[in-house]
Amino acid sequence: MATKMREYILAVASDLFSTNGINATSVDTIVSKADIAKVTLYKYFKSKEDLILEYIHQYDERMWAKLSSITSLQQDPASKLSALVNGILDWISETDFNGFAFINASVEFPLSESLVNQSSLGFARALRNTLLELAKEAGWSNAEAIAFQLVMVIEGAAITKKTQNGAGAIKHAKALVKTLIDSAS
Amino acid sequence: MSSETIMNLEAGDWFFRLVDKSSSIPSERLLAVFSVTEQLLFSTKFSDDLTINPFTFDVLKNYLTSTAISAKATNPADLSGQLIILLIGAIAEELHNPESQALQNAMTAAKVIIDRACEPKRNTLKYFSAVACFVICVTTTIYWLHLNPISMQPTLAYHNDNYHVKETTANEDSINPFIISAIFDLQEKVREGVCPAPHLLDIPQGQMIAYMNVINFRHSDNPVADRENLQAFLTWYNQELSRECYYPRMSGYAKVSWR
Repeated sequence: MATKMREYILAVASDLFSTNGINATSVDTIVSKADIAKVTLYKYFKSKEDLILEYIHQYDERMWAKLSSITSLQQDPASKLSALVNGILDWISETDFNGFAFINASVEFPLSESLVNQSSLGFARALRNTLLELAKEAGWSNAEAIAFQLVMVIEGAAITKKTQNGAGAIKHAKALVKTLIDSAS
Repeated sequence: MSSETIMNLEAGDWFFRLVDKSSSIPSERLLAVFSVTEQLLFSTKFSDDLTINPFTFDVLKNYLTSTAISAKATNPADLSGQLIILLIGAIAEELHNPESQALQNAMTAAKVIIDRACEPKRNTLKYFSAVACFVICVTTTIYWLHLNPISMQPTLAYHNDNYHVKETTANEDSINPFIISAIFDLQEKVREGVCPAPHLLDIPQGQMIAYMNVINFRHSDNPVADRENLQAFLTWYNQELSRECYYPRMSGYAKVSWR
């Protein structure tokens, strides 16, 4: 029961964070939307920061689980890398996509000493490292550069999709990814 | 700064003037968008006020598209769409981590996609014409091995700005590869705007069909007739239209600017 209440609060907060932004969502808004007492929220989460960290953590876990299932279908490193990036772009293309939690959080908490900022950069680092490892396994001489360029394409597509409401962002991003991977191969 | 607040180009044309000043070559100006943006990000004066909104997005997209058209990109709208994504991603990375040299790295990626998008079409044509010539030469050689007699006859070949009569061997039942090559050369010059396109209604139907067969890589149903038609077509073109061919200077620039 306790776990279910915790998950329920987290789900309501996550929805508000991704829709309205993290800073713009107050604890009062969360308890009001969840229709619970403030003391109930603090029973499960010590602070709003705790709630934000859990939101980012859960978002990352969900994303990696999804990406792992996509890459497991591929055999060679180059195909895994391509599937991974395209899988993320497919996620961005979904209508309810409101920007990556890790990007939004890092922008809203820009100070490097902030726990939220540090946590939010975790996914970006992990993503870049995963792409780098796959690029190295594929034997590409410019593995470092390609991994970084693909991360930038993903970020650019996410921001463009959000700010321009699509505008062909995913189509262009996928074409970009194909060209970059083809040129590296 | 929110994730939408990335770049402000509303201040006017100064951003594009800086880009324009960087190079007279369109493809280099597309790359310069990245280097100029990097310079701006290093300037605190501007980095405090960098926003992007639908208006500035459209201004930037229009600039990139028109420059991509000047750079003769295969699909200018696609190229500009790709460059914008790369640019925005690089700016976001640069802001997150100023030491990452994101814009420099993005510029390397941009060069790859610009080079791909602006590859001269004539290379493709040359490739196909080379392959076509190769196939025809091999086919002709095989015929030579099986048929007789080998005849010596003058055939026309298009070379530079004149048609020259060349002595070559050719089987009577096939189209001479030099004629095919001459047609491809001519077609390339027409496509580049060096020579005027033939008005197909001005030439006999047989010649028109033979000509269209070659430039569309179609197999000829009647090689003997097509060979004669192509020879006649080249002769006609040489007499009537080749004088209108204009060859740009090989050294230096002869640019036409719309600016």
